[in-house]
Amino acid sequence: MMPLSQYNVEQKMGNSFSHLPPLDLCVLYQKKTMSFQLNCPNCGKRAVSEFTFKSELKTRPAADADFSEWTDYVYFRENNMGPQTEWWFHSSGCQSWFLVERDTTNNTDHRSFWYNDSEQPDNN
Amino acid sequence: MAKRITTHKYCELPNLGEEISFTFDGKRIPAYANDSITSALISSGTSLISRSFKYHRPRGAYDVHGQGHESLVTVDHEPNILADRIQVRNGMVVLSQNAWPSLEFDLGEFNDFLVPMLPNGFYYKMFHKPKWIWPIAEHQIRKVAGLGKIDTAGKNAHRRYEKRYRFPDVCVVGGGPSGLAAAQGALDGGKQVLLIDDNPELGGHALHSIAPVSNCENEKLNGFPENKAVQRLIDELAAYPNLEVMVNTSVFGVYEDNLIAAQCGADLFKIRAKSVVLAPGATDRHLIFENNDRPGIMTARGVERLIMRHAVTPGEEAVVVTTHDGGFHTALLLEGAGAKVAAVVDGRESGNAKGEFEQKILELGIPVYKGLTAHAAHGRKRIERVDIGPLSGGDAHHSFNCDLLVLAVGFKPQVNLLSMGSKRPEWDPARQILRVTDLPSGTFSTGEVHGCAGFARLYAEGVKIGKVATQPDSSVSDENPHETERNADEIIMALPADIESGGKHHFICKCMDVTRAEARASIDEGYDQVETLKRYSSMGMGPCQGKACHEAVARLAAQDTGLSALDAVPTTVRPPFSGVTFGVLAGRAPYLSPIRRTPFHQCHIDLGVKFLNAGQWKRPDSYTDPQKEVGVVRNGLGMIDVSTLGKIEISGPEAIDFLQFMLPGKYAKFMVGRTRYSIMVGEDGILFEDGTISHIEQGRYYLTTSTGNQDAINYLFQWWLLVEDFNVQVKNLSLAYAALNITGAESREFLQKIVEIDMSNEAFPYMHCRQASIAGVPVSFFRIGFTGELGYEIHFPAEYGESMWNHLMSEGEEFALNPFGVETQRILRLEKGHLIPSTDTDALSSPYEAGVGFAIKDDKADFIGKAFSQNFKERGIENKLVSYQLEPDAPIPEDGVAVLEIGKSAADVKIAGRVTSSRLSPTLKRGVGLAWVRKDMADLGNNFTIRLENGRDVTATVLDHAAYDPEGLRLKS
Ligand SMILES: [Zn+2]
Repeated sequence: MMPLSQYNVEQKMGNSFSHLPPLDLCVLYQKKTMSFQLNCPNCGKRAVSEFTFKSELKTRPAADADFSEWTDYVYFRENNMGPQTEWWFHSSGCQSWFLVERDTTNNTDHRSFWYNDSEQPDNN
Repeated sequence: MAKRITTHKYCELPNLGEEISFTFDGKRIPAYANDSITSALISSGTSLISRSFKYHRPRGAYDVHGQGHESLVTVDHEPNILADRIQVRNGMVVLSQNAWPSLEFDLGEFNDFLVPMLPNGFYYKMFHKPKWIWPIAEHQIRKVAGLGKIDTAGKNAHRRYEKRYRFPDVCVVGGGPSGLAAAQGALDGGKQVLLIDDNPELGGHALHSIAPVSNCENEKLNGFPENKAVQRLIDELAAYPNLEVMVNTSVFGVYEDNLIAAQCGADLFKIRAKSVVLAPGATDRHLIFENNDRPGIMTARGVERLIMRHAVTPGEEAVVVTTHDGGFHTALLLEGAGAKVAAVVDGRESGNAKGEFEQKILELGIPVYKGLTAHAAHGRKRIERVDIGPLSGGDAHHSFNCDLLVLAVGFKPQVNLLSMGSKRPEWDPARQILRVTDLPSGTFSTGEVHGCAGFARLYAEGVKIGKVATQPDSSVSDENPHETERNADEIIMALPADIESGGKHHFICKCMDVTRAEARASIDEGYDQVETLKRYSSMGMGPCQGKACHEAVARLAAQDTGLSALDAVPTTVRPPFSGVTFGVLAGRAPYLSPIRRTPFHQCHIDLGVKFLNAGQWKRPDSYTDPQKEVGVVRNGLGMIDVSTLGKIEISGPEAIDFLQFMLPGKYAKFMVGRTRYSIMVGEDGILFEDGTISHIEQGRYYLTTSTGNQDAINYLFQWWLLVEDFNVQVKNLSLAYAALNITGAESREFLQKIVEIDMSNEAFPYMHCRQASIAGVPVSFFRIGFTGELGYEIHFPAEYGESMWNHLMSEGEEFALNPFGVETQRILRLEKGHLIPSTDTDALSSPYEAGVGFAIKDDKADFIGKAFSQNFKERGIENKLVSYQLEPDAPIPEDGVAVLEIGKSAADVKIAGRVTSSRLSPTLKRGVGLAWVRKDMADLGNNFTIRLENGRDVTATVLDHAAYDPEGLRLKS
């Protein structure tokens, strides 16, 4: 039970996640706050604000995989402190998807490459 | 009193420009075109410029360079402008701030006499409890403890804010001798150089030095006084074609990967440089003693600037407090300008070798006192007398009458820009300054910021660093260029951070009016870490953001907590380095984003439309009253522009497999000429989009998506194509096609008149698509119904937009065809109970709970979100999105209000859901809408309570699906 004076705040909030776009689209509406330059395999070095980050590179489980494997895939992130491979999209440029191997502690050292040029990652 | 001089014994005076005038608090002030507001005010004898933040103490010009808060004024309606930094314009209207009723007679100064009653953390302690008092107290506090008034009405917001970009090889920040030399070094290395300075002219402090240059690498500069030598250096640079110079430009941030943010007037410059050389220089160090904030106490460089750049002597009778030969230089400039120098008080003991200017002062017979410093200032609106005594404090030895006290007690490097790469400054005991070393790769620094001094040395180090900077990957430590040989007399020993001379007005942070006693009290209360001390006492949190006081704060915090000077760690420095107007950050109004117009834009304008902003799109909200426009569709024939829909064509040998994978529905038996409703879910099973999919011709499919997701869904398709490797082509036709929805009972009759194909219900049933033409233009027809009436969506090449609109409007005249807008469509769809993903759903909405689970066929092989869709189905539902209606005449709830479950008593209230969309239905004459409610409340005919924003409750009834035409007879007729 809550005092009525608080209604205006909470009724507006409703479900507390309602201000977020759905998960799959979150990646496309992300805020851009860093200032480093990302290397697009197509366009070269550009301000990171031209790009959209999608996620870490992950292997999609098989359709009949255990549900816990799917939960890990959808909801868990490695959040490595150090090098990791990520999906990026040149949204304000050539509109290409590509991969970046980036040291998350040091944005400026990274390697960009096309998905088709990458070795398929181990199924972790 | 201060005055303008016409001759100087030791140097030429500058060209002051033409005579003009402006007003300060209504008083006319004569000035010259090259004056800053401050120099003009001083020359006219105005020593009181502002009032301090908390105690409303009188404040006057201090460094004449805008490092502190003293010169904050309102200029031509723009508040919080640093008078030090603004060149006067004829007729300019300048107002003082933070004083009431007037600057001279400020009632707030009463606070000054209440000092013991306004201790640190006063606001926290006083208004902590009860909780309700804080909002009231805060309102009162903000009224008295304020800066300038913001023109919230925007009546004077006439500036156009632009963003500009530069990509130099080397960006040099700071145009003093070392910055100029660094620019020359980089230019000689063949690089494109951008040189930035925040003053109206290049040259830095060398512009007001008459010390002769000798032993300079650049031999052409030797033998000239520094102010002439630096001018020659500037002339040399002017010959380089690869140099761009920006003056009056403040760099306020240095960010990752050499991104530099700078403000010049109303322009924001974003500069991406291959290398950056920071040469921000140093300012005079503060000296903290009793009443160290009184007007008439000024820095040596401030005084020199006034004399040499503006031909103004800021006082008649001066005392100079110093610890190095530079103070004697200032004294000589004052003497040469006709001021009386009552004494030079040198903190060094008499054993030191005498510098060049000290010799001159002694020859002039000016009294010099050794081993002493300032203890206390007397006078209120202007200093009248100063007491001097030992460095260790205690009792004063002498007292001098003066109206100017000059502080020349060493230099405080401007480390702020260097430490923005998250490096904290550290106390360097050998150089007696706070320094930042170990800069990020590609960022270099040089000059006084490392304690380097003297024109020849600054030049040598600058050129060296400029050359290093031509190779962004090189590292300074390789060659150690900051370790330029320095003489022992070059190191200026720091005086005690506070002179322990008694009294309660030793101001550490002048912006926030924090005294030494208050800082000590805070430490005693347990705030003994510099970060907490800063937050609790608000030291360094004022307009100067610690630029003026961070060194003193760090040193005193270390001292008062019993640490050594080496542990004097200043607080973290973050951008912005200087005040930045919001307009500069925001850019051109309304925002720097394209406006997207549909092909029918002009048609809408001609009809007097009211537009609404849907993302970047301008869409028609309504043409008349949306409530009336509903009638157009329900009783006649309406047309709406739906060109902003996303339109994606999918074709290729594996197109059907791709759709089976991308969408949760089944498409194995999807015949040509059929259209289906489809939802989209993510891998998390959450509903995020709906639209239609049509089989246009064998192997060619056409998907429509909502306006908001037009681009995002295309990007997502591209990604899946890449990782899943289907033999498919996906074409984004969103902008290539215009689209209209023609709807109403007469739509068939109308369209049959203008198209060649059979439009009858038998030949072209509901949820089918056809290809035809109108007036020779190829058109795709989709028989769908978002509005609940018989309707057809037509898509055709965008370039026919206007002519098609006009053709339809004239052909439709006999059917009373009228356009309607998006707001009208929202009412129409709510009458039909249709949801809009992201409006009526969120990041937790399962399609089953949203009532569109029928669109998922989870028994097929694999598709996006299969695992979670199955899981959602197994788990069943907890909440449900329901269509509801209200009693006639009940008030209409606002979108987003709560659905309540009211128990036995009125106070026993639980939130049981929320309204997502709510409108008055003109057709049914009552409120209709969509709401999330708990499963047990979602049964057909159940009543639930909605609480409006005004606290009133209304009762809603759950509907089967739609309030209007629930069987869909009109749609399928
Ligand atoms: Zn690109």
